[in-house]
Amino acid sequence: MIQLAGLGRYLVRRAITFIPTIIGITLLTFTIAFYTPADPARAWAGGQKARPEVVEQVRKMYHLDEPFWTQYYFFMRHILSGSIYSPVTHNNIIVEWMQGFIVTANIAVLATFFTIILGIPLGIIAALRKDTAIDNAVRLLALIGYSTPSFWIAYIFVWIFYDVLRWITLVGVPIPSRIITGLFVIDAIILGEFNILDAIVSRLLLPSFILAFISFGGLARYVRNTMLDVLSSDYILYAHARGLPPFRVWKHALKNSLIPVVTVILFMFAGLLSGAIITETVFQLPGIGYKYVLAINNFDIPSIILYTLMTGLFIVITSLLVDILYAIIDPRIRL
Amino acid sequence: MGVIWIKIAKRLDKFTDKIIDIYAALREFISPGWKTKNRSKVSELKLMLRAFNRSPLAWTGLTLVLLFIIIGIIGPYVAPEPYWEVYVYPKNMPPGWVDSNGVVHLFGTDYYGRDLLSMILWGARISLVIGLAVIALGVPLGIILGLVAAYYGGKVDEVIMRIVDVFYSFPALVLAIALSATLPSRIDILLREVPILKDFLVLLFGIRPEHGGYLATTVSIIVAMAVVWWPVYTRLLRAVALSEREKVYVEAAKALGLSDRTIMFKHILPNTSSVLLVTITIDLGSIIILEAALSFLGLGPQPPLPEIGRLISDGRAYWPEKWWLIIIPGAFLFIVGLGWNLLGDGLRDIFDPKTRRSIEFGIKERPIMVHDIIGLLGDIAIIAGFLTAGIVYRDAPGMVILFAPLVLLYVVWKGLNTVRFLSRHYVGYALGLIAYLWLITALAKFLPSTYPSGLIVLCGVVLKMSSEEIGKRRGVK
Repeated sequence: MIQLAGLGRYLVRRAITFIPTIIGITLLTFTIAFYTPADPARAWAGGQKARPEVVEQVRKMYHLDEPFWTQYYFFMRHILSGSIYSPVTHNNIIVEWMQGFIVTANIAVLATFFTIILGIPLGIIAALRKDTAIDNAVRLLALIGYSTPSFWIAYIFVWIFYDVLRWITLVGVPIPSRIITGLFVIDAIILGEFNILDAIVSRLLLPSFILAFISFGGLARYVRNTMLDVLSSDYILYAHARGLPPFRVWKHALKNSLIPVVTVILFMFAGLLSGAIITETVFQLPGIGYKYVLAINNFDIPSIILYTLMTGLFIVITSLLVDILYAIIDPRIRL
Repeated sequence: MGVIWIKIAKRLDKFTDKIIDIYAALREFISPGWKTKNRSKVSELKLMLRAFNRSPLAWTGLTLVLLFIIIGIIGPYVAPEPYWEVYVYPKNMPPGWVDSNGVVHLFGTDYYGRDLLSMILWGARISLVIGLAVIALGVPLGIILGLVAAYYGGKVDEVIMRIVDVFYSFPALVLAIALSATLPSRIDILLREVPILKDFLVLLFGIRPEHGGYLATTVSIIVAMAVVWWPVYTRLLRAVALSEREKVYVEAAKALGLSDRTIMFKHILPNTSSVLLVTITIDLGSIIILEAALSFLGLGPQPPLPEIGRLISDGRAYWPEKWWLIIIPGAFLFIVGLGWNLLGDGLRDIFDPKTRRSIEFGIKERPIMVHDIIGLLGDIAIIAGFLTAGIVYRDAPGMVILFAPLVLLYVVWKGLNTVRFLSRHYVGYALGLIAYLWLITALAKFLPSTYPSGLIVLCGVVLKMSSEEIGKRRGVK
């Protein structure tokens, strides 16, 4: 435990910067919604034809006639107590968010999985064969990934895999009879429901593959660069000089270059968890991103705020986790 | 393949060296003594461009980006069909469709029965202006805050970085959607109360003045993306400026008693420019794609304004039978995005001393000749001629007439060069240009009466001056 000296102090310091960020996020999202000039009460009461007393009632109900801070207080109280309802669909938003989150989490896990199995080997190969055709190909792949509009590539893949090959389906979200881990694929395997597994794979495979397609080149590039940095460091030179076989040297290099790579993957995963808005819209998957777009179209302000808030929270918490992870691994940070 | 590329790169080297030499000569002309003071800078620039020449990907990127910018600037003027005349043709016609007047529509027609090619040309302007506007709004704010945070440190730094953290906590798309969904009605009021702003934007986007009312949503996505983007630059600038702050030149500037503002903007900022340039280039690609994504979701410019993401969104219902509605605009976006990314990546390499060092030295300085400048003027005259013929007169035969002598002269000049008739490169070039201008004036007689006005007068003047010049040079020799 002596090795972790100073960790507590570091955590306290990190928490001091963490809390204002959370408050800032809630304030920012609330401000965006608060300064919406169109009258939400009228929209929720039924549009232009709504009777004035109904509009007034709706306005009272959602505290829309109160000043900024009171509204903020009410909003935060309801979120913390978990009882906040959408004025458009009349559902509990937090419950709805969770339903969307399960779908999104499934896609995010699959997408991250594909990104890792494609990106890391490619990056390692590119680093070991620096300045060759493979290296240039990885570089080009990364750039193609950055510059591909996801809504465009999605339609091309839909054409290949749905209209030509008939490998995938585009309606409904199949769910195994019991949810154990929350990941549909694993649940279906545990329960032995292989027809549902087949349906899940053919529904969720393509969206997650598209998300992976966009990011795996970038990950490969990152792995290549960190790997090259490590390969040019002194202890690798020493390992070579000591006469270690190349395979053993690479093992040392890989171990050290994977730490920054893990953080990148974590951030990518957090970003995916906040909803792949475009991909979910194209595939009509009822995840968070799809629901977010629906809320925007319906002018459903509480939902908009909650969804924005949750995405912000996810990323802040991830960065906190990454920092703590680093502090445990690398003692210099705790200083 | 590699050998061919090296050959091309060596040719490009000559060209880029010439450009830098001309630039240096101009600076020397404006402020005598510049060249001796900045000799290392000149050779550094040459070396950078040589590094750039050796990267085929970077050149592809630059070509694509230049094409996009040219299309963005001249697109609205050369578009064969106006965007505001809807339902002229049957909607969603395939590429190569011929209408009743016998006009071929290269990319077919869109959801509103307009020529798709024209819509992409109009839309390119909108994409370009939105991209540049986001950079113009977001980057200065980011730069100032980043510099201030890094330079002063302490509490100022802490406050600024906490605000940045808040903005960083949202994926770009989520925050941009939330903002662009709530902003339009406020922007609408702003546009109505400040008509000058509206007129200016109408001019920038190249749209009809009566469509100024549709700009509220367009401006709101610009503002939304600028709000999303500035923290990127604050973080970047702070990181770079923190390491710059510790360097000796900053200490020297402080010792001289310069003000904080001078040190920040005149001394630290120029040293971060390479990083900034790379990031801006790459970000322009991302901004154009993000903007299309927002339009795809129904935010951003509303019909009848042609917007590329919107064109794709309109074609969704007809996929995959009418594939061109999605494939063609999407391919355009992809190529534009790839262009910016390739260029940015290439720039990153040439600013990196490690890559640059691998290129052999051997940069010699060559005195600037008058014919170099005549040659450059000739290039400008040719490009201006094309633009005038293309944009102002919309004159296809005129463009052919401008182009045909050029090809002819190139062939003749090349032939003379191979038999060593013309020993000096630039004299031949200048001679060729003069002959070209003469040919245009000669050919202009056969053109429709509208064409030979301003351009030909310009040509005449240049012709007169440069023929004397050439005569003098010959006499000297």
